[in-house]
Amino acid sequence: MGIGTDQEQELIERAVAGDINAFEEIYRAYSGMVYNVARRIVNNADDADEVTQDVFMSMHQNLKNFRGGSTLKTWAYRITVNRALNAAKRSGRIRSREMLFDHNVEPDGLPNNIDQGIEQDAAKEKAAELLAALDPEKRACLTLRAVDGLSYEEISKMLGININTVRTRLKRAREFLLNRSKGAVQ
Amino acid sequence: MTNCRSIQDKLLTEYIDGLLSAEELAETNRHLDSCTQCRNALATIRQAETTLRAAPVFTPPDHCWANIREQIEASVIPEPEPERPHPWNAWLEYLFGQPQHAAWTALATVVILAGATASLLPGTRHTNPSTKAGAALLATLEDRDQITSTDEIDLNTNTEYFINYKEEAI
Repeated sequence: MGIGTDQEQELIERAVAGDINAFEEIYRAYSGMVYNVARRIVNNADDADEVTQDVFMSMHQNLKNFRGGSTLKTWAYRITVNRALNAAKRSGRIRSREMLFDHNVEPDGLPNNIDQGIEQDAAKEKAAELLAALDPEKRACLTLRAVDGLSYEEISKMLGININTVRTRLKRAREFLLNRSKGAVQ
Repeated sequence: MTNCRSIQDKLLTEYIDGLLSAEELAETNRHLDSCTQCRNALATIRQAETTLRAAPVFTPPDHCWANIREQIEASVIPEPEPERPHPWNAWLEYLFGQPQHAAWTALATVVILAGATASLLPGTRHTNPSTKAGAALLATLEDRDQITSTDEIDLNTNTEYFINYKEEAI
């Protein structure tokens, strides 16, 4: 669900003036997008939940400075990607430390063979498994490109990296998936 | 086969993302027609990305907004009430005008009054009844107003009256 430009401006003004119901309308319009982008990058429900709250608190605090150079959706998206990436890196470091002490944890929750015909639900599970296999930076690049359809330039601006780095991360992410897939087949 | 590496470099980036020039695209397609390994690689990646796009769409849990709302409400600090001037300030302002000058004006007034009062108190050279001038002054006062006792004279509040009499007495 989106909001028209005029309605968006009115909601921003009301929210800045302290109208919590106006801010709730902004939340209802964009929380789905924020939560799903966050969830693809952090790849777990708890962190996605935390990132979503963090994003909207940040938006609420900075709404008075929002100049409308971009839409509220683009602004929310940018905050989400950055917060989610930071959360994913933090969470990845914690998991890495935990795995050092827990030999029962299987580090690679990869699909056995992505070429096999699979049911829709199983495909969804595999999507999460594929994402889990990637490190946060490659995961962010790949989901922004392959799922959200952003251009290299948009990803570059979103993540504050140059276009060559975007290209390199995308290539390595896809190489990683390709090699894992080959390994699973063999 | 010899250029599979460079072809796959493009396959995993510009080719799959639709960014190749027409010439490069034609060249890559010619290679794909003749190379099973590169064709399989492309198919595998495309399937992986289709799988990623099949990821379920989640709805944020209800407690998410509840927590955000709670945090916002907790962070709202009530506006402080406008500072009221101290009653003394209002009073001084009423008497002496602008607040920034009132205190100084009041202080100057107090100093002047204190000085004037001190000069009129018993023991000073003008009012000491033991002096000749003082005695003459009191005598004059008593004569004019039939004042019988110096206790009845409020010297502090009748400075001008007192000075006039003093001058006449002298």
